[in-house]
Amino acid sequence: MRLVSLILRNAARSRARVAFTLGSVVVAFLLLGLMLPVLRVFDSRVDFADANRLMVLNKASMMRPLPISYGDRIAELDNVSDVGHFTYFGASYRDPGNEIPAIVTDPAKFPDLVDEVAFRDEGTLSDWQSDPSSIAVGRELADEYGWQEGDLVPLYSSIYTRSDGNPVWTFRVGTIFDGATEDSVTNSVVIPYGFFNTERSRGKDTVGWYAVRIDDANAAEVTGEAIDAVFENSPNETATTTERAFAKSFLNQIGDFKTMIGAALILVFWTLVLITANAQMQSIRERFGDFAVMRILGFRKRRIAGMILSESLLMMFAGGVIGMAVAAVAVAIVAANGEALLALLKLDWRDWAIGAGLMAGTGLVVAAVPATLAARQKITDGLAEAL
Amino acid sequence: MTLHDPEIALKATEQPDATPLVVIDRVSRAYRKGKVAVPVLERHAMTIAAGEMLALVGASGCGKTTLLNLIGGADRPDAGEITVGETRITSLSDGALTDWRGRNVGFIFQFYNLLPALSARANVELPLLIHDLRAAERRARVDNALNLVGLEDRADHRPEEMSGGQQQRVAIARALVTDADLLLCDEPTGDLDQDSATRIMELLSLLNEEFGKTIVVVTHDPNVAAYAARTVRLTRPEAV
Ligand SMILES: Nc1ncnc2c1ncn2[C@@H]1O[C@H](COP(=O)(O)OP(=O)(O)OP(=O)(O)O)[C@@H](O)[C@H]1O
Ligand SMILES: [Mg+2]
Repeated sequence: MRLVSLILRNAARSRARVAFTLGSVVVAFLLLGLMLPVLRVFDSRVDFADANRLMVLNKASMMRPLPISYGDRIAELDNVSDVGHFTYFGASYRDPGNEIPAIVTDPAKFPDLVDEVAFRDEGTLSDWQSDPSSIAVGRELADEYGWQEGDLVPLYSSIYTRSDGNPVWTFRVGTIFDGATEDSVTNSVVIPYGFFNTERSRGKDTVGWYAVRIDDANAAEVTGEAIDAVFENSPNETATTTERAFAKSFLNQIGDFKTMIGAALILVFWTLVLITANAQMQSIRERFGDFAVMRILGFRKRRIAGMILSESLLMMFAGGVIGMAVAAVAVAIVAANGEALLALLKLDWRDWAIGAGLMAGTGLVVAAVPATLAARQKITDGLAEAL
Repeated sequence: MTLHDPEIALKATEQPDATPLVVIDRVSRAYRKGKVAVPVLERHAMTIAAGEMLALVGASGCGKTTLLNLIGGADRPDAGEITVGETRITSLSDGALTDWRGRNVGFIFQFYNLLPALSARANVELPLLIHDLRAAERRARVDNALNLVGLEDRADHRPEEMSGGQQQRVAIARALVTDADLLLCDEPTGDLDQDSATRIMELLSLLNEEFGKTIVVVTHDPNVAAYAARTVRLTRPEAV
């Protein structure tokens, strides 16, 4: 018989209470295991924006275009290393409700300007760049619709009709690109500007916004002000921000949401600590007589305290590992069947590390008071209690 | 083993001249009741010989349990010294006293004080867990102790599945398993019927006579005291 077996035998005597306590630990860590991956996905979405990139928008409204001529003038400014432009296409495929992200830009600059994508096939890349009516398609999207290089894809635009009034644009799939990292989202279509600009019936020679790559990220603000100064008092004044600032403001609501989830998690944990501490306290109080007997038989105070601590840690780790394992399975199922952000969900080693830390921490906190009381009690008092 | 005659046993109350195992030297112990200290033992002195079987009697509340706990190192006196064998236990640190207790003293209580979650075997094994013994050695000792008290067939029963007399025999086996020289019994038959009580006392006599254990038995029962070679009557300080 070892110490662990002593603990288990005691647990076996109050099955209902042990099951209840264990259950509350399982639920708490299940919640933790479900929430941690969600919180991390939010983080990865804020990080995607690049501090080295400025966005130049129309000051009057984000939705209003800017003249194409601005690009060359921005490129002349200090600290500017590259200028690209983007226009939102407003695409849907097959059914007007089935929107897909599509953007119009200069194919020559796109691979260098956007770090999140990777063109693994040089041949099809130059094919796309040289054929003005071809598009580049992200891997996820291509897989979803079974598109391959050379396929003809009709895209409906909710914003731009062609010169003949037709809102359906048919493009050839020129190349398929991948994400630069595992987390990158590749569900978009990239359309060459030249062909699009000639063909569209309105808005010619304008772009949606400029993306400006700068050499020195620390001078981002100064460069932004310089850009806006160039176009001051023109019919189309500009508003320049870093992409990161833009993304942050855009995701602020999500930030609040994150805070709420965090607060809920803390509350659940606090409740868990109270429930287990109470159950543990009760179960130990009932055994004060036992502990006094063990003390009289030669068990040192530290051994008794260690036993109570082990019992508490065993409870936390048993319940915690079960809870997080269930969460891992649930998260994997959601990720396998989900799209976009949901597909990124994963309970990885960082979550397990946080979980293990909390199991150990909570186990210690819960056991601290009962262990101290049990070790401190006078043997003679404990024996009197046993009667 | 003989059934002792109580009349004869009570007469043998003078100090034995054998080597002392326990020397209690002017020990005092008081309990606090609010702000008042209520003395229970005051400059109490006595000697217990090695191999002796001693009965400790006296009115309820006179301090018998208190004295037993002090001798066994489960409690500390306010003043005075207690020496057991070579060890002055009143000078030991808390940890050292605990270790000493685990090796040298066996306690037997009126209400057995077995751990309810554990089988008889596991209860008997409990004090061995702090000794550095291999599992086989522990098992052999536990079997031996259970044999001695005649409970080898009850090894897997839990306390609630046994009679009071059987539980007390498990408690005796637990006190024996570490091979302690000193057995301290606080009303070991106080909760038992006559037959069970007799069986327990015969067992203790056997341990005293055949195995040379030094035994102190606290009791209210003259029939129990009769098993001891010597009886000490304790009185409360204020009555002196
Ligand atoms: N922990 C304690 N706190 C306060 N007073 C105590 C405590 N333990 C014992 N006493 C008091 O000390 C006195 C002696 O108690 P003790 O238990 O030693 O007596 P006893 O001789 O064993 O009595 P009994 O025959 O009833 O078991 C009693 O008056 C008792 O009330
Ligand atoms: Mg008593």
